[in-house]
Amino acid sequence: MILIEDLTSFVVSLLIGIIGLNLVFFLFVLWRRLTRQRFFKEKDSAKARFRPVVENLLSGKLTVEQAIVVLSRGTSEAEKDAIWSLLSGFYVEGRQKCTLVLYGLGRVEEWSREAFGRKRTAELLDMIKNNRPYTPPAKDILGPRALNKLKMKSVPKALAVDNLAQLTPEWAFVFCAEGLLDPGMEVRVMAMRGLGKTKLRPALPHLFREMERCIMEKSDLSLRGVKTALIEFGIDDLVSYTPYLTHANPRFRFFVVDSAREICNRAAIGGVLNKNDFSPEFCEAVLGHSAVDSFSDVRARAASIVKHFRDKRAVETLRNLLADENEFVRLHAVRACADRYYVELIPEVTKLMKDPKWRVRESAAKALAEIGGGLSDLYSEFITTSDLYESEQIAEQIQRGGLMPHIIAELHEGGESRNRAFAVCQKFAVLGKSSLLSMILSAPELGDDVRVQIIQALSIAPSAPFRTALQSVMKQNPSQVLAQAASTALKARAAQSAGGTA
Amino acid sequence: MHTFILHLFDYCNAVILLYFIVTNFVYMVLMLICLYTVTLHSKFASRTAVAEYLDSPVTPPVALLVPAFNEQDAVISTVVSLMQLNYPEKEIIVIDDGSTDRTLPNLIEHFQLLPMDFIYRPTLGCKSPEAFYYSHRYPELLVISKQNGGKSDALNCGINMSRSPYFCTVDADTVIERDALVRLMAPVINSNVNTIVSGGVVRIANGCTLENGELKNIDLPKTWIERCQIVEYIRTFMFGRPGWNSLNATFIASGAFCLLHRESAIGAGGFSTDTVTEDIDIIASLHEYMRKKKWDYRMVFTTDPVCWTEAPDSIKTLAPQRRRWQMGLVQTVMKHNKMIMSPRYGLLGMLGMPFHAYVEAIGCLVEAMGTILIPFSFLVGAMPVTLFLLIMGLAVGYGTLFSLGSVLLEEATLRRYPKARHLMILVWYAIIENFGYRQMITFIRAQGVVRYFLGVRTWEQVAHRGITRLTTVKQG
Repeated sequence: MILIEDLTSFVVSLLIGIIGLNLVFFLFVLWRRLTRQRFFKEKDSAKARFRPVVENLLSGKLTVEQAIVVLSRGTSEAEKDAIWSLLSGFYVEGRQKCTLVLYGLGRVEEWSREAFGRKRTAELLDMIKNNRPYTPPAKDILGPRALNKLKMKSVPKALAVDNLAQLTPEWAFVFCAEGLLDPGMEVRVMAMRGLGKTKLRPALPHLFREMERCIMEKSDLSLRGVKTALIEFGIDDLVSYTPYLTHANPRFRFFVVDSAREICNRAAIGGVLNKNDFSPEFCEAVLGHSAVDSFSDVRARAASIVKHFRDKRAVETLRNLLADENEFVRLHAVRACADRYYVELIPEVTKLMKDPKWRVRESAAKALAEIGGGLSDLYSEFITTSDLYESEQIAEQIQRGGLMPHIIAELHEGGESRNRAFAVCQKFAVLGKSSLLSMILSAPELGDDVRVQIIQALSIAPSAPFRTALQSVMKQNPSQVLAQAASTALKARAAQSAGGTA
Repeated sequence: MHTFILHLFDYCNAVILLYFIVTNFVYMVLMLICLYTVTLHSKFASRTAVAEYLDSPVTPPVALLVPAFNEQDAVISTVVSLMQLNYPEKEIIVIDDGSTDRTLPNLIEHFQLLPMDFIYRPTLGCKSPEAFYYSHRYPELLVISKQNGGKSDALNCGINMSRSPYFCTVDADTVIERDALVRLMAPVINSNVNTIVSGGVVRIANGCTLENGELKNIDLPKTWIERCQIVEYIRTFMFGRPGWNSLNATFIASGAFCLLHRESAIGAGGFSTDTVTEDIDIIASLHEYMRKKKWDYRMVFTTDPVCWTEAPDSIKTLAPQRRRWQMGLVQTVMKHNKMIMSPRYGLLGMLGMPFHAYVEAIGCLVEAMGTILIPFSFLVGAMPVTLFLLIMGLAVGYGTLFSLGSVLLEEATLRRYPKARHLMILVWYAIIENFGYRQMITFIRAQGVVRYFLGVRTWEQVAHRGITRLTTVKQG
């Protein structure tokens, strides 16, 4: 057996090695802290020095050539970094000028060489300068794929591609399209993101090809990542999506429709859309193909696009989708109807309050509340339905959606709406969901008339929170009417408890 | 008799030596892997499009589940910090697990919550909620009040009420950095397979300044026990977990801040109440469930999302915590022992699980034995002084190496400790924690293992001082 004492010399050398390594680590930590401090100090000073140059360039006081001459004095890493952060900071205003300055400073070439090698860089820059369309390399010039997949190689390349992606869109497109061919996952992630950011239509085929790879072949990129890049495009670019809406692969169609849906929703934040905001080809493809697609997920997502069209055909399409056999299609269709324009679909939405799937019921309740005119239908449905699931769903929507103040306000009013509000309160009591109303009842700022009505409504099925609320009312020195109502309710509750015990 | 004892010592020493070699070899490999991957990841993550994810509809909604039991001092600042998180769509669900202090009233008063009767769909088994509290002022916040059933029970209740495809478990004494959640989600967004777990780094908040639920000034605590824990946490989170993650063998994700895929967690049966470390158990259950279903999945651990939590500031509070962790680890490896050396689980089954079972879980017994036996051998004259010193030197040298290595990684990547003084203190504690602190922790862990084998299954209650007392709190 090997004993510890036989290993003395080995242990000694190991110990020396470890102490040495500890020392190296310690010195590295110190060196790192000191050099970083120096780096940032130098960078801050360089930024202060070069900021006026960049400002003058952007305001036109300096030409690109003059700026290049001045900025080329920044040669250290910190200075280069400072210049880059200044140029990328001002970027939206003077992207073209900044790109030319970076090119003049040799940074573009430097990054491109890091990412694609010397030979390919020359070819890519030639394409850019001569305004020729991007052409992929004739053969793999990147060397062994396995080696290029290593993080050690791909991360620096990815950072270079990320820098290149921030140039003017036409330049960025060329570099990002090239980056998408790299075997390294990190490089491709940056390239894909950059392609999306260019918002140039020629980038779309590259992104859709990447989506195809993710779905139908093997890819290390995520579908969410491709989708993120695709939804960078605007509503005007949707016409370029049209050919892909009829792709043979159903999952592919689904992701295309889903991306289009996100673009529409984003555009709708800036203002209400209608059919005229879309190209006729796109509208036709969505209504004629996607909305009647054999794959239910495509139909479901198409509903969210159709809602933006706001015309007769859209109403009819949504009506059909509301009656779809698939629950997700109904779910998305009912969500799409949560819009005042679709008032005429209220009967169909109300019907979905009885849907066997709770998510559909929930969305139907929300839609009715959001349609506006649907609120009275929502209350009426709540009062009249004998379906427990439906009742619970509407009760949840009234509470979560903040509709209770509206009901309380209706109790103030006279006539029909008051009777309806009273019935709603009664229904809450019957369902055993009177916590919120009981809480409201305890609030002294509420008028006596309303409080009496709440007491009367909740007395139909008194709950523990209701009794606590009544006791709280009695302690508040109430008016005679209120005190009488509370005391009657308390007595009834006591009698009921006694009866129950007997 | 004398010869027999000497032989016994030799055998024991051989076992200890073997344990020492295996442990340090594995840690060395993990450290080398991490020096490579963590540094590169950090560079790549610095370009993570946080702003894009925040603006993107592709970023999935997340439910933040905060189980709280007697957390009256910490829960408000935790919820405020969660509300301030940069994330496009989140729901915050606080589950008051039958607190006997003012946890629930404090929440109701601070956030002006109203009692509401919501629909409860019990997908996972747990004690039913007694009340729901909600306010339209804070529509993302929901407070559930339920009978005490333990942390797992509370988390299951939260999962039942959550609506998002992902949920993130957050301890009630935890403060999360503003971008941490979106950074935790980044690997999910960028993954080509279903990423069912994403874990981040947990740091110790003791000594820091908290302002409006956000960590404003990072400083080190005053006591040696807290400082040693800081070094220990850095070691765990900078090269322990990322190392296993690089080998695709993630087995532990801290429940203080962990993102999980809701449907997968439900499929795996949710959080189990039969172990005292539900966060370790659910990871193992998820591995089993996903492999059984033969679904592609991924569990990731990344070093850029950071949260800050309260750490025990005395041995009295540290010991029960560590005993519980150790007992929970043993419970989990025993419960999922079929994963050990099972090729079905890949590197996790062939390397990760055996290491966690024999080194991390019960190895502390060997370590404790070595801590006693080696000085004892020397004292009774069974070991020459030079050899004794060499072995001690080696143990300290390795211990320091791993701690210094992690401080180095911290400096190269996160750099959360801004002052040079902090760095020097960390380096100093990376050395001195080997003289007393580590041995103490070894004995506490061994106690946890012994308690497991004695059949103790209860959770030792630790009185929390609360993050607000261990940090400086400023309200704006």
